[in-house]
Amino acid sequence: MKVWPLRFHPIESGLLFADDAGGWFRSDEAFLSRYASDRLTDEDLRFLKERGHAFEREGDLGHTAFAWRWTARLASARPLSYLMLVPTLRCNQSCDYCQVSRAAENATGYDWTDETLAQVLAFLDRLETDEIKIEFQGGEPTLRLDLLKAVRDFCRGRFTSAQFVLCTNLQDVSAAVWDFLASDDTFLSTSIDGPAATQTRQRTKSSDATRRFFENLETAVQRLGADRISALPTIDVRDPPAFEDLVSTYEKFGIGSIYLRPTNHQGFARKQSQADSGLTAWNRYHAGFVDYIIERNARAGRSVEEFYFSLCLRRVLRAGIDQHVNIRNPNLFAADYAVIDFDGTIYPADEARMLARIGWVDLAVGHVQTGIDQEKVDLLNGSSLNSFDPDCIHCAYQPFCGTDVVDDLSRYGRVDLPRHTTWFCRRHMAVFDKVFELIFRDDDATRASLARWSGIEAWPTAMAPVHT
Amino acid sequence: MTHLLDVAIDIPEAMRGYIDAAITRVGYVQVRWVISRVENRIVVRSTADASESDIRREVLYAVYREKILSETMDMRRALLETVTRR
Repeated sequence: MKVWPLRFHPIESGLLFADDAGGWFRSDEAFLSRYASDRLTDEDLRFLKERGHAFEREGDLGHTAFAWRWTARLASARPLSYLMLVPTLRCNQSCDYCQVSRAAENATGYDWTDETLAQVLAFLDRLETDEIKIEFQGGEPTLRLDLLKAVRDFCRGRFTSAQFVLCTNLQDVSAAVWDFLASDDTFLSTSIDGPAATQTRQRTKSSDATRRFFENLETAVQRLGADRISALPTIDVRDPPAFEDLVSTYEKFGIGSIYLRPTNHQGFARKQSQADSGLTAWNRYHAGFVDYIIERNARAGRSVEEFYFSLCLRRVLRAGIDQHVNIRNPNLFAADYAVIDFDGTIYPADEARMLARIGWVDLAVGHVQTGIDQEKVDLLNGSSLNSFDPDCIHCAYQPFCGTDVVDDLSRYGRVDLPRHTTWFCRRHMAVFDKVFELIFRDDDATRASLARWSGIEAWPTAMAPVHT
Repeated sequence: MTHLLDVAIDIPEAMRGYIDAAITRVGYVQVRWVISRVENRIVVRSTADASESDIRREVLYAVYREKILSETMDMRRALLETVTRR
């Protein structure tokens, strides 16, 4: 019998073992010693075979199934079908951490021209996909509602299925904007950093503007329904909102999925302190928040999730969770997702757009007029796979993890640093440590939340395999 | 005065072929350790806060990982050939 390579990693309750296809179990030092010394017992081999970590001969069911699972763990290239469009860089707000390096509301030269709009529509027309998702970003995109309507009208006629997300600060919402949002194919996304004091300090700068924001959000809930609204907080870990203040603010508007994001170090946030030492504090805050909502969910009888934790949990439990551009393997550039800036330049990610704005590195991969520069995309994609990275190949979390070349370039100016020293790796080691801590935690409250976040009815014991 | 800790780890015979690779790996990960080979032992001098048991564990883990990586490389190559075969 042949055993697929097993990586191992110390966790709170023992040693986690994982194979290249993302199969895993918990065991101990004694098993590791037997495995490393080629002294596996019959019981070990029986367990490994039953769990899909071993096979008898190449081509048998165990071997073929493993090959399938390994392949399923890889993010496949899909046609470009999700576009972030930035029709204007102008904004009517001045958030401290704004990563888009906005332009003033009355500035000129920061909007799509008529020619750019025509080129964007022509670019959309050339796409191979039948389904499209458009996310309108900025600046404040509602400052150019005319451009949003033009794109939406075109997409509705061109594609079999079209969905739109309007990312807005909900400061000045005209009747025309409410009309735009009234359609069932259009969703709203906004930023709620916490209760009023936090929102004022970080975003609006005035209590009147904050009051207007929450009033507009309340109106949005009434008009659209909570199901068509999403919101994200940006957390300054040096002065974060209390967990309950944050959760209750979101719950008040019927939003039960909270995607915690640290202040991003690009754009204006780069000017603020963003040393890697902040990562320790961030990991602690995030883990504390997850523990908090587990206890709260059990106490309150309602389910709140932290979006990114749930995403990573689902990536551990199964393959195919590859839609989030910040964590997948390989993380192919300009494949299914791209960003089109106010000047028609195409970027592989919003962070790449910011790096260009601050003059750090040009990661543009084309222009709507000329299309995508495949040669440049291929060059960037050379670093997008973690499967055979000399560090990741030893890591038990590799099948669940990914790469973020843009983040590495942003922070370090290079992509070949030892993985364990990068923000991306250290962040995800902490998240996956937390995932497995909870998977092997033996209490009803944790199991109930894990089940809800995984999308299953109940959390059976078999979800936490142990071999002794 | 800097605290120095010297730890000598005996490597089992079946794993001695991986000592050099493990030393390279540990030296890359634990940049504040001074690591050397003395016959069939790995010797670590550490000025960091790691305990003797931590050092011993990290070194043995590195040896295990290099052994596993080397001895399963053909399996990984064969898997790639399987899934990329037309």
